[in-house]
Amino acid sequence: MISKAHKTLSAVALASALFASTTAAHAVELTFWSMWNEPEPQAAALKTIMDAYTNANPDTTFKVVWNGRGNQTKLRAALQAGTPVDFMDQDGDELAGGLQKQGQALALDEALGTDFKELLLPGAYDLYAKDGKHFQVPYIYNTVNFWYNKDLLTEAGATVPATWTEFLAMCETVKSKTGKHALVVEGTDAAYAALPFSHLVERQLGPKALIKVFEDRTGDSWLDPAVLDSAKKAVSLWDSCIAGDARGFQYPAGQQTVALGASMAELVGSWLPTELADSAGPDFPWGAFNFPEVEGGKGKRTDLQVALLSMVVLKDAPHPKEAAAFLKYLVSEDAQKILVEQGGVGVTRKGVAWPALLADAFTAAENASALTNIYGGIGIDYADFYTKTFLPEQSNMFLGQKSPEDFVKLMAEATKKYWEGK
Amino acid sequence: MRRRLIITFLAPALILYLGFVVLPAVRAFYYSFFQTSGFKDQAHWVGFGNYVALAGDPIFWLTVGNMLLILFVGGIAVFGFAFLFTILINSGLWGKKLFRALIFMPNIIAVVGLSTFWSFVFMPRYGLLTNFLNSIGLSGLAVIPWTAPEHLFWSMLVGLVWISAGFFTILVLAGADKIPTDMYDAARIEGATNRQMFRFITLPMIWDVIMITLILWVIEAIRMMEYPYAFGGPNIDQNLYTPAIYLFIMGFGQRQPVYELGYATAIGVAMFVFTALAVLVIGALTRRERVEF
Repeated sequence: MISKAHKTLSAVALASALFASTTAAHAVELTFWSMWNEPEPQAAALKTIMDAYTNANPDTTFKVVWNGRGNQTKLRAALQAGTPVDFMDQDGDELAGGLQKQGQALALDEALGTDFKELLLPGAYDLYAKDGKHFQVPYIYNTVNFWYNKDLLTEAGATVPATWTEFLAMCETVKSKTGKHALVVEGTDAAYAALPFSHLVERQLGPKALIKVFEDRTGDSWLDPAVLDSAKKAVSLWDSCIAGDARGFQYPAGQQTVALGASMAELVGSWLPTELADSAGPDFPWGAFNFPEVEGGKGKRTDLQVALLSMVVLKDAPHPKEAAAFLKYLVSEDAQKILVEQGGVGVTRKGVAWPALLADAFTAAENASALTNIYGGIGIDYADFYTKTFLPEQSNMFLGQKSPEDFVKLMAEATKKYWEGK
Repeated sequence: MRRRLIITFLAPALILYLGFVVLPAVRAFYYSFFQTSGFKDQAHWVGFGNYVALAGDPIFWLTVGNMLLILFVGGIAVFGFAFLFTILINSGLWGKKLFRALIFMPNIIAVVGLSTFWSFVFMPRYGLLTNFLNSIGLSGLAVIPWTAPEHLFWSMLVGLVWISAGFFTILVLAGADKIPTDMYDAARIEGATNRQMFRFITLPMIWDVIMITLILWVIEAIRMMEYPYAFGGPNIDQNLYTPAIYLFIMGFGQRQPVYELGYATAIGVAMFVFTALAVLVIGALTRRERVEF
């Protein structure tokens, strides 16, 4: 005969076992492969965010692999080997041309809902969308602007230029009043060297114009007078804006001249103040202004080139719903404030102010009328052409080894040949 | 019994070598016949398509040109310095061990550190070379941007020669040290100069060492990647491309999402063919009777 106490004990044991099994069934460990290195402040911020998420959702924990910038390439090998990964992060353009293009990213529209894009700064959510589907959650925001020394601009008695003419006048003024050059470039960095030309094409022909020029399969769009004029304008920067010896500056030699006060500005991403934090010091008078409008052009001064960093959920993720839920949390106000405060970066959530150093960039992002990916966006869908032909040839033109006329002719022929082979 | 023992001891190393070296190498040949991104996509058989594309790819031939410049121009400089240092160090110079250590020193420093150093040497405006040239009144030369595209490759090569010369000097010196000293004593008594001793004693007696060092240099030059890549920076200028760098850029999505793994593998196979051909040619050109001592 079973005693009453025995029955009660058995019932408690059964209930405990059932509860334990239910809890185990709901407990989820999300595997996250990250583009950050563990000692970086951005990684520390992400850790804080993940801890906060686990506190609020005790059933969800995280296993993180801090891979550094080669994350996507390392993930490729892991996917081949069948390693289960839930979500990962990387530069948005690299993801769009990599995992997303190869069909390995999960469409997040259903999980995130239709109103999700309203939570983010203008254009951010749609930037890497394909055929109306969204595969990425951009969570860190980098703008491309002229990053400059405010004191030098004031010393020259110049103001932030709104138009190309004003910009060239500013260069002259800075040079004559301070004896220093207004601009510097990393001469041998082909990607950075493409920034003036890609901006000029977009100011003349409108946002994403460079992609449209390339997607003209006849190649004739390169022969548009506005494209040639953009090339000429880019080269003309060497006349009064940039010192001749900058042709030989190897990254990061050019930007160091800004920190040293020997040059006033560089056209580059909003990561510059962070990169130069040690050499420029905490009191460096950073400012940023957008690429000016070209008179008569279709592009606006408020159109921005950006480099967003995004998260994606893998198509074969073991826990896709839970991963998507975390990504939603990642762009919540609380999580984004942690990224700003602890990570020192600009973020994608509307209304979350960026670090004081990046205040001008935040204003630019809030008021952006259109977004294009950094360097004009060809590198996403046409990475091979961009890497093998556009960047080196543009660099040859910008650094004076090829005339603008020869450059546009060559690009027209190369584009035609590229499409003939497709 | 003895045979079984040999097999038992050899098996682990052999299995590891076959599994981690030979098999992947064979797979590389196989992959080079496919078009694939490596992202779990369906690989498409293209036969010799990647090789045909490679043959018509001007960038690939640019990389081959750079490889040949490193191989020959760099090689002449590296071996020139190696022989010069060998003559000097073996000429009874004071502090032989110290100089030997100094010459070898670059080889124990990380490549990134060395490339940073040489970037600083050639940096326009603030670099060591610019300041040195200014200090001796050669301001015309000091204003030349040594790392601008037209000079970039040659600036890189100077650093590369400096780094490599030490390693090959040590190899040549190690061979020369094995030569019995009485041969040099006899030559000195006969009135031979240092140059004559090097030509008629050292060179013939270390011929096998020279052959091995030449082969090592050829392999090094064909697979050259780390130093030019580190010297070139994040978005490396095409003037610095070598076949290995091109392979890396085409296959591993660095900075730009280019993931053409099949094409990159074809570049790797081409590098293997270059290496095999070069080793055969060197073997044929340097074949001569071996001096026993």
